[in-house]
Amino acid sequence: MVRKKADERIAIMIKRIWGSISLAFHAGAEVIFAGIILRMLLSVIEVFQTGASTTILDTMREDRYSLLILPCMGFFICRRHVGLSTAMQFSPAVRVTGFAVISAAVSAVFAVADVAMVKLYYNVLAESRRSRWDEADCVRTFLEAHVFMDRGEAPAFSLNGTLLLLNTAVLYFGLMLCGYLLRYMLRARPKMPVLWLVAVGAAVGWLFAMEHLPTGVAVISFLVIVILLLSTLCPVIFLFGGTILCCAFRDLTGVLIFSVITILMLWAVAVAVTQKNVFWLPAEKRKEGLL
Amino acid sequence: MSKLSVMNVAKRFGRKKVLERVDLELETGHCYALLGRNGAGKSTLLQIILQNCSYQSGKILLDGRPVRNDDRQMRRMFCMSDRAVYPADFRLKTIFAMTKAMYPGFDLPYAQQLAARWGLDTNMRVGRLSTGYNTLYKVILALASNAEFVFFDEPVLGIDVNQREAVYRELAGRFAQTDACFVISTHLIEEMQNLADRVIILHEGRIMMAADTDELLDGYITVSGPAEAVERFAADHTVLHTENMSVFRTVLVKGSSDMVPEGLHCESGDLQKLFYCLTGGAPDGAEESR
Repeated sequence: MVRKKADERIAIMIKRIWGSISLAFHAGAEVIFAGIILRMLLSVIEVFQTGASTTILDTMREDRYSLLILPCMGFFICRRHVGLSTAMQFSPAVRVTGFAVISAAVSAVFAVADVAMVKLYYNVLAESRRSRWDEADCVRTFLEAHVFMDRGEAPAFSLNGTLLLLNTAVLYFGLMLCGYLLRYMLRARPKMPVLWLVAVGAAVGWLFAMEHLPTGVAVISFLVIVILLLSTLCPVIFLFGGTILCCAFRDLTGVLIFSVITILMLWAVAVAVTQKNVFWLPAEKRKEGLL
Repeated sequence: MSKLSVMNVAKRFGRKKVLERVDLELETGHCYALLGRNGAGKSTLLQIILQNCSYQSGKILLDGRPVRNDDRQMRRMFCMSDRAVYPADFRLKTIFAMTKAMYPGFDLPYAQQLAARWGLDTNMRVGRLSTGYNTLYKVILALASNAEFVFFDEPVLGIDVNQREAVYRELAGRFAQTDACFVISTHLIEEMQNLADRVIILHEGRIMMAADTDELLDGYITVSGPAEAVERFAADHTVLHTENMSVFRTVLVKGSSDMVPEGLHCESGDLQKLFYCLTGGAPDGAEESR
């Protein structure tokens, strides 16, 4: 009897999680396809500009497009996803899981496309640029750096190639989730001017960082801003944030375990944020261990 | 029979207290009318029960188990409200199919049949529906959900009187068929009198009254007649409300019909008037006479 009940419970949960994934896809399908098409268009423009005297998008190339597009996708999907999840009475954990699975899939698609494109770009299309690789400031983006280090010697299915792919996907996933969380906070506290001020500042700062700083620094600065924003709402997130930052500083490219921890931490942060009750608990309740 | 308990729930928006120590019990097999003036906290209370809104303290239990963060508990409830939770570009048939996927008990043929009967084209996009139809498709979703606890937040918003009748008839019919608990939050109090078997009045963030509709109304009578005679009668009773029309007067008093003297007309209590009196009358203190 007890076992039957437990099986039933598990079956319900699996069904709910599948439902949540399907719902997240429904909520984000248009934005996801728009993002993918935009990314492809930018790639085509980039390829056609190679060798031209005017290179409008030269300083914002390769994976930097993804680093800009993915947080925006998370940002735009949030409203529809939250609405639908509310209508279907999903718990915060199930809501976030649904979105996380979809964003992980999208991030993986972007990562595969970017790694392939950067390899292709540097190995085939931009042969002339190879001579400039020795100039350090030419290597600006995350993927460029790693393709440059590999010098095209790491095949896609090697351990290094897989790690590069995985870490790129994790990075993208994190950024997409950050975009989602940012929108969520602005929804939850629409009348908090400081939040809007910091959010606009973050957007401007992010664009500046993408333009002028190496990607690693830009990504970390973005994470710092998001974590600071989150910690104004929930102090516990500061702890999660600290771990994420440690992961980022530890260099995401090298250690797989840190990537996995980052995913788990981001998932936990998202669940904590979507449990709106958390933010408004008085301090004494928090001390009682309600968190 | 399932029981949903709201225990000691408090909610603040900034410094403004919206709900203060609200205790409430809802049981399946009953239809509740949740009444309250604007800003009384009706919608907030529903959103708190459904875990869509934060709250400072309190608990929501379903059959003794907390609802919070429990998907198995949350799927036993369904809420229709005027909030735009469905994307405007979704077609109705997509929303029906999606709800069917999430709520196994959702009666899709019934939903489709009801939509056809009420003149709703399921190929329409949500964003193109008028206010009335926007409410109607949500009512259909709620009725077809087959959830144990179904919450209707303003189920007749923007609906004309003919359609309103149809909605109430369907609501009553569906309620009779299922063993669910219906909670209807509305400002159309008169229309709730015959539909809900229990009444909950929320006033200034507190539950002012939670009672059986018939028992509540049996305790009050409306007495009308010549002003002098009514005045004499009213002198010995607790008068809740007075209305003057020329030389006639109508009073709402606490008591039963057997205490009314001959020559005066007596009717059983009116829920709307009772609500009006209990919640403080006209907000601007207007004269209650015509």
